[in-house]
Amino acid sequence: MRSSLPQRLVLVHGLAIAAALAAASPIGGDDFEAADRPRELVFPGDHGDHPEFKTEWWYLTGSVTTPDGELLGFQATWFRSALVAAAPARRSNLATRDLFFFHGALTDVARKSFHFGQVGSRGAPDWASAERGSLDVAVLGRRLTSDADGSWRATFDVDGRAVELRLTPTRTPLLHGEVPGLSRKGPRPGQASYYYSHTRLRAEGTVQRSPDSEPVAVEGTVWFDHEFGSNQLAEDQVGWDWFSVALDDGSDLMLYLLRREDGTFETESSGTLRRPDGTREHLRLADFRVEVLETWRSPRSDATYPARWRLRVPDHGVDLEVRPVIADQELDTRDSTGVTYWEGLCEFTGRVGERGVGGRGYVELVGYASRFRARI
Amino acid sequence: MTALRAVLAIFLGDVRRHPGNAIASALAMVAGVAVFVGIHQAGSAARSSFVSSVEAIAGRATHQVVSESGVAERRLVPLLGLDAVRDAQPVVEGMVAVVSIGSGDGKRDSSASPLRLLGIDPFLSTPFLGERGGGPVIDADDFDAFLTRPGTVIIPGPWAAESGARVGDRIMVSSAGRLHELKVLAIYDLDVLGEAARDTAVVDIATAQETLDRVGLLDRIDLIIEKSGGGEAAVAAALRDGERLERPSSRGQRVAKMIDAFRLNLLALGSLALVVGSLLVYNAAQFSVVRRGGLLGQLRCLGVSRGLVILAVLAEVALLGLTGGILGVLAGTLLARQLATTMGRTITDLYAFVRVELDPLGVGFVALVIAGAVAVAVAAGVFPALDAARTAPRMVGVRSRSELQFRRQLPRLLAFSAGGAIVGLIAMNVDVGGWWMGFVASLAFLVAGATLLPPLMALALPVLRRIGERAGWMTLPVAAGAIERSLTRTGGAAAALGVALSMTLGVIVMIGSFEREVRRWIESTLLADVFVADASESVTRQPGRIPAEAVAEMRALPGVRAVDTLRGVELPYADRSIFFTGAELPVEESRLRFEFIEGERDTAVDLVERGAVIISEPLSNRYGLGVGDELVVDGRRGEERFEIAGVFRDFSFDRGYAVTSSERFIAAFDDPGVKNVALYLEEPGRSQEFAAALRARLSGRFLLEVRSNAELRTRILAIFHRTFEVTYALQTIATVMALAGIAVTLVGLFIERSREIATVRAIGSSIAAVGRLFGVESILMALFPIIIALPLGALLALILITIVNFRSFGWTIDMAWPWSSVLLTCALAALAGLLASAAPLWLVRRQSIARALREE
Amino acid sequence: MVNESIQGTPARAAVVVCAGVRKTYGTGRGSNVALDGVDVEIAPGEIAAVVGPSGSGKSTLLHVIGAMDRPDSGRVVVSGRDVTTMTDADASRFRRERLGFVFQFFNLIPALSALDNVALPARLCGVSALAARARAHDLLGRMALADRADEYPDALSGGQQQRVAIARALVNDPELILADEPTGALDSRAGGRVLEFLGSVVRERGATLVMVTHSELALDFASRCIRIEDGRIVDGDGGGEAGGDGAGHGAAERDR
Repeated sequence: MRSSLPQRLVLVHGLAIAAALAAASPIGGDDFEAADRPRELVFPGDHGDHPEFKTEWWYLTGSVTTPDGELLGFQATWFRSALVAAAPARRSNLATRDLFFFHGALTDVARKSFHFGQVGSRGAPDWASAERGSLDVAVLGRRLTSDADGSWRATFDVDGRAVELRLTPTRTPLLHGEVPGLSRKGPRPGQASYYYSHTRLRAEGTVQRSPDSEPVAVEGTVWFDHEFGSNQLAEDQVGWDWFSVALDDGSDLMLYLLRREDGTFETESSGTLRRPDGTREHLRLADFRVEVLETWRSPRSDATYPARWRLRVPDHGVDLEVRPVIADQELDTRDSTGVTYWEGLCEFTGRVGERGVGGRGYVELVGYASRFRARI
Repeated sequence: MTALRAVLAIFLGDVRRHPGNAIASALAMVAGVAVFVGIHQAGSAARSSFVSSVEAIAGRATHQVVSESGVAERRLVPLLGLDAVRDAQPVVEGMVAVVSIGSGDGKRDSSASPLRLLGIDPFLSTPFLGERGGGPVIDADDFDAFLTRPGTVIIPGPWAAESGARVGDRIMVSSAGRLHELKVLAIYDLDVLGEAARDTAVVDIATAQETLDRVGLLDRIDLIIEKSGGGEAAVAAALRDGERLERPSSRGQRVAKMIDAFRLNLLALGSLALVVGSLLVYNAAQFSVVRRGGLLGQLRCLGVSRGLVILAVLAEVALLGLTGGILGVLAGTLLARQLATTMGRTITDLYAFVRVELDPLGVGFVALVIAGAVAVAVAAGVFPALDAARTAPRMVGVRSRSELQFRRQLPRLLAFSAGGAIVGLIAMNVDVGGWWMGFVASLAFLVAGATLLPPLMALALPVLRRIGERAGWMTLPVAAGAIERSLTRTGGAAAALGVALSMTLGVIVMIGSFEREVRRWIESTLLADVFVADASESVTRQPGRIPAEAVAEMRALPGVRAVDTLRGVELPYADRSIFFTGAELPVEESRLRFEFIEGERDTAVDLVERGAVIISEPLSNRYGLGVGDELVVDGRRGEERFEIAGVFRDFSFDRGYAVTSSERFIAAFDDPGVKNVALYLEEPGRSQEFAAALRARLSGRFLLEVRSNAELRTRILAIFHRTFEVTYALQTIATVMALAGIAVTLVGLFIERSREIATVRAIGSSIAAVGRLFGVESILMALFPIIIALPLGALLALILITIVNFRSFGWTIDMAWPWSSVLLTCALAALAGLLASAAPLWLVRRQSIARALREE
Repeated sequence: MVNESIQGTPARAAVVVCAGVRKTYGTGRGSNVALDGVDVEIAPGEIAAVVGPSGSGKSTLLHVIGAMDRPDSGRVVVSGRDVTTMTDADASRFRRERLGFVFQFFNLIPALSALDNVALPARLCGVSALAARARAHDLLGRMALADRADEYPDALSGGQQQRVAIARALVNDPELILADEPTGALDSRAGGRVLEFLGSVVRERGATLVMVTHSELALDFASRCIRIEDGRIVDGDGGGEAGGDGAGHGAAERDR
């Protein structure tokens, strides 16, 4: 479950046009397929695009280190939102049915700095597109694609900082949801998406730490998410908290909490735990506890975000403390998309069973600054 | 100051008592200033409306990547990826003609003005917005429609109001030889894009590509390039062959330059109206000086010094100039409204679509024009003022003194005239670039002619008098004597008419010669039987497109012997743009249709088929290109060099026109599609019927204009005449002004001689006899200007043809003498002069003989 | 307004002194001697009538005295100033400040009211419109025309017009008034009344009057008669002799 860049403000030469692109948007939803039944995900084919679903995203979060041992975190999102399920055949290549966005963020732990950038484009060959049947998604030159040898390449920039990574899967995909691969987001049928992760991609490549500097070599580990569906969010949901971590004992953990207007959590909030031996556990809301230990107030948006947590999965002996590597990892997009959220690199420390564990992962906090309110 | 005010008050009191001349000269100033202001305002409105609509659309872009025949759409991402490029937006843009507008219940044919379709990508356009960034215009729901529904358009408010189009209406437009449907999604306020966008309809870029037939291509990519650190060089280095980095204003400036030249031509012509005005001011001032001879002598006797006399006369004419200037500016803004439509249409015919909307005149400009009018009037008043100052103080008035002095000035006038002629001859033979030496020469010759008239009259009138005396027909000597005695004024009025008439004849001869040349050219080059063009072309003035299927269909039609096609792009060349074309030359006639000035026909056409180029005369003349030179232009894949195999006559594009073979053209510029088709029939005699049948066959599927040879000829000549509409209007104004001057002069002469005339009548002369006298006088007054205007008009025509036309358009034309128009004009001038005598005659009828006899 | 050189002039000195004044118009055969060695002095307070046949040089003498014509030779001193050497600007200034003029045909400015006609010479001297009109009003009162002040000349009778002209000649309080046939365009009754007014104001102000005239009436009224024939003064003393009536129509009646 990932951020979906909800409503968007677009300007046509000064004609402000607010585009409702939220996953919650009711527009055209009826004509799309819904994630309302089990689906066998087949790889690598299902890494590719699924245009019969309204929204789809490919997400990289990871941490890499420089030869000097300095730690960098990054996030890169390719996001597709269909405008219509079926578009008439047109002569122009630029005639479109999809909008694509890319969001990128870079956390430079040593320099205590955080950068982010974003672009959007219509779906059109050469501009922004996603391949069916294989991983290849691009938005105005920011690209995630797979090579013949099974490794992937990610090329993007974050506010002028070029990132180029070769990513190699080290495990099989981790399917989320009670029915593997079908992740429920609300009580009604169809309020769900198909969702899986590659939890430990080995990453090698280069990163420009500032726009003018030379690229530095980096290596590390990257978490990949891919999710697609139509109209999965319910009306009364105001946001979500999402956690992901690959722990050094070999465990992978993903949890999300869907927050409702009344302050309670959606019952479909859930998670997935993969043990070092590869066995997978679906975690229901009742199976885990998230305790907020500290908060942080953004000087820009004035929003108050949780800033330290205790995560427990009692039945599986998981007890972790989560703390951000730097406090301010907020993406302030008020000047463009209008959705301000927090997504940052965090240190996870604690125990799994008797064993002390640690690891780096990402936390995403949506809906604290405003509830998908488009600015006009 | 007190003294000046006292004397000025006396002069003005005198004007109130004898307002005729002052009114006539003020009117002349008004007309002169109005013409000037009108042309300036209409012309600059045309220019700025064009330039700013180009610039408004470019928004905040610092640069644009353009390419002949379009930039490939895939080039956006690489350019956007450059570090130096902060933002980039793709643009597809072009004019479409509006065919009809329909709402749910029906459609109506529309005479709405054409729309400029601006195809943009809303995701990328935001950074290019000016400070204006307007409020929401369509809601979120509509946004999907804007992006995904083909033909969705957002139209500008004023255009909507004018055309009656509403949200939800379907606008049928013609573009690239086809009919397209646009659906109005919303209407936007002009404050969003600025006044200049009043014809700009916003569409999604995909719709623009489809409607304008540019699939896969962008007209340009707007860029915002980082100012610091060689950003421009970095972008330039990343360009592919055929792509060019330009400032957003350069396209606008190229067309603006051409519009400027056009406007300056008219302005120069218009300023000649001011020359006529100043002559009439001179005339009025001189008249006053003569009439006030006694008054001036007295005032001098009462202690008014020469300096004060000069000051007072100058102040008086300055007031005249001021009045004329202020009223002229007002009249000019009215005139500008008339001219705006005419000039807008002519500029659209010649250069690019413009829609002229007048802006209020700037305070600075108004002040400048009024100051100019005052200066012109003061300059015209200098000699009369000096003349007035020469008045000796006298206790008894002496009237004929000034006339006597004027006679002494005749040799000086002759010298002046000779000087003008010499300056004119020199100016004619000096080329400093541009046509303005032609203007100097015209002005010098006009001055020469104007100053020659009074001495000529002084010599000729006594001869006429004697002839009349010998023949025993007394009216002639009396009339000639009357004019001769008042030569100060009659000379001035005749000079004004002479100048106006010369200009008119000059322009008539120029246009007549031009027309003869164009007709001959049409005759020898318009050889095909049926011509087909994109219907939107004549409205939008951008190269049209005939769908390939239509071309193929026409080729296959029975009865068609051969088909010529023409492809074309407009290319920037030096400081302007030229029209570069690729032609198929399948039959003998396709070769014959070029009339070569340089180069041999068959060799040249053979070379063209092998990739050489032939160029039109204006192109050759303007840039000094000839056979053996190379024409170097930017093609799709970089610089293209063409050997020049010949120079041909062409009157269709004043910008210059080059022709190569279709193959070579497509190799250099890709294929923008066929722009024009010419059909040669097996039965040329049936072209009219064939054209009608073809029209019927194509209609419904394509929007093409099909014309038979005869129809096209008529159309070319109609456009030709339209080009000169403004010129005709200006000539008419100048001539009417001058004739009014003559009428007022005659009235003045009558008032002066009222006692004499009353005496004649008292001793038994009939009104009819007096009428005859006035008639002869006015015919004499028109005769001298006509005598001067015939050679002077020929000279002006020569200058217009060989200097102004040649240097501004590059056309060589043989001078022809359209006798019928020339004689008609002269006859009209004489007739108008005769009519001018009606005014004094009317006064005579009303006059009481007894009273006139009593009065001094 | 009175400058020093004039102030310095002895009170009893002549207002006009002409010595050996010659003036010829034209050259060669067509030339015409208008003044041929004229010597004359006119004392302050005199009312001098200049008489003689047409073309005898009367008007030329008046123009020479009025600094409007420059003699070919000889000296003309008016109010102590040599008017023969003045520039045009000086002469103009001298005329408007020191002289008054009365014309045969009144020559009022038709565009100005009687009042403004009278005020004109004052305004030419830089006097404000208000002050000039006040002065003019006063003078028109003396001429018994106060009630016609706002009329335009064409609404006035000949006699009235000439009285306005006299008022105009006096508005700058000149020492010398030059008049050319002041009654020439009037019938004898009106002419008489005009002369009465003229005489009384001239005497009252101690001014000097030089007038060209044919009129018997004027001769009676003058204190001295200067007779000119062929450009020479033939009788400059006393006022007894009445002039001819202009019976001799000279070939060159050039001033008309």
